[in-house]
Amino acid sequence: MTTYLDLHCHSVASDDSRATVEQYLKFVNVLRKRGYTIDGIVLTEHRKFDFDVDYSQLASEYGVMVLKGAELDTCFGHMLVYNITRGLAKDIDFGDVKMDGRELIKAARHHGGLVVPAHPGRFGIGLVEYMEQGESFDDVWIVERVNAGSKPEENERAQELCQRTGYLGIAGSDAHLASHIGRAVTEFKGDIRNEPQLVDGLLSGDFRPIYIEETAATPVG
Amino acid sequence: MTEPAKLYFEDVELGDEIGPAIISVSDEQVVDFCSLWGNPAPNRFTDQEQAEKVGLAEPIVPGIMSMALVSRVLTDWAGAETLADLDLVFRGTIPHNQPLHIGLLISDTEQDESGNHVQCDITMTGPVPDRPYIIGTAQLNLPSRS
Repeated sequence: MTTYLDLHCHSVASDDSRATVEQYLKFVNVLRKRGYTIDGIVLTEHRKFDFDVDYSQLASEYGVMVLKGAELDTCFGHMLVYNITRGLAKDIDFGDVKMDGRELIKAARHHGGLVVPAHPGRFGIGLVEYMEQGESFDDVWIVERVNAGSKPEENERAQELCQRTGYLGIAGSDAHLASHIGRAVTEFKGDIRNEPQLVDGLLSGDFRPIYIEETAATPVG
Repeated sequence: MTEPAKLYFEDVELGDEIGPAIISVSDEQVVDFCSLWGNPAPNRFTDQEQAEKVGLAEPIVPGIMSMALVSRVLTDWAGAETLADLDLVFRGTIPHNQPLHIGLLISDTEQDESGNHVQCDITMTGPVPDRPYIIGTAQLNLPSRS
């Protein structure tokens, strides 16, 4: 069993996105018609998490899994957070754009979640910049190796980081438009159906970052 | 006699790509635009020194001029009367005298009692694969053949 998930996207719940969740799900089915495989998406809204919003009906209607996470601003750049619990939301102010990234990583693990630094190779704001300034991150071992919204050279920096440190890499589209969904996905060797299973899948280390083209059974186009 | 529509709802399909239209904005065009706009040169859009004073590396294309350029690409394709809404997010400064690639992609289609609605995703980039200068969406209301 293999699961393909876009681990980074933003709906209109994020201030700079122009795609509704339903539009993303419609577009996933466009990708499927083109021969690509994508099982689901993880919404990672900026600086917020809504426990009450329920996408299960839409997910069922379109046959696309919808999981929820967040992308939080920290003093060490943006960080993707998976399997957010009420306990974590109580301990961490998601709107604090200067929060200590290391504390966030620890708090998320304490509450059963997992933090993955987003677009670490991005110039000016990525984890690589902070590491070059002498910062170290003992609790980081997975980063967003492929971010489809980044420049090619920024993804190359992320790849070099993984090669240098042994970090594992995930992939996500960082979509803010419906048509950008699924451009990069993470391939898991296993069945993932909810947020705790997503964290288990990441902790297993049995995944890899790929571009959507690699999911086609036969070359498309 | 009414002219036929440029584009009908039945002509578009979710996922269709249009373009990119490739345009370039000259220094003179920016000066002309600023003059019409009521923001005469020299200013940060037309003058190197004024641009540097506000932290820019060089004069840039005004945001509302970029919106006008995107609008024109949309209306050249679908017809002037079809554009109902344009919502752009500026993610980078737009240079003069460089190729600008404006791409459209049909990201939603819907028919209801109020009309035949099409949403286009919009990106404006430079000539190399890079983060876009602009992303956004446009809502078009298209006539139906039926």
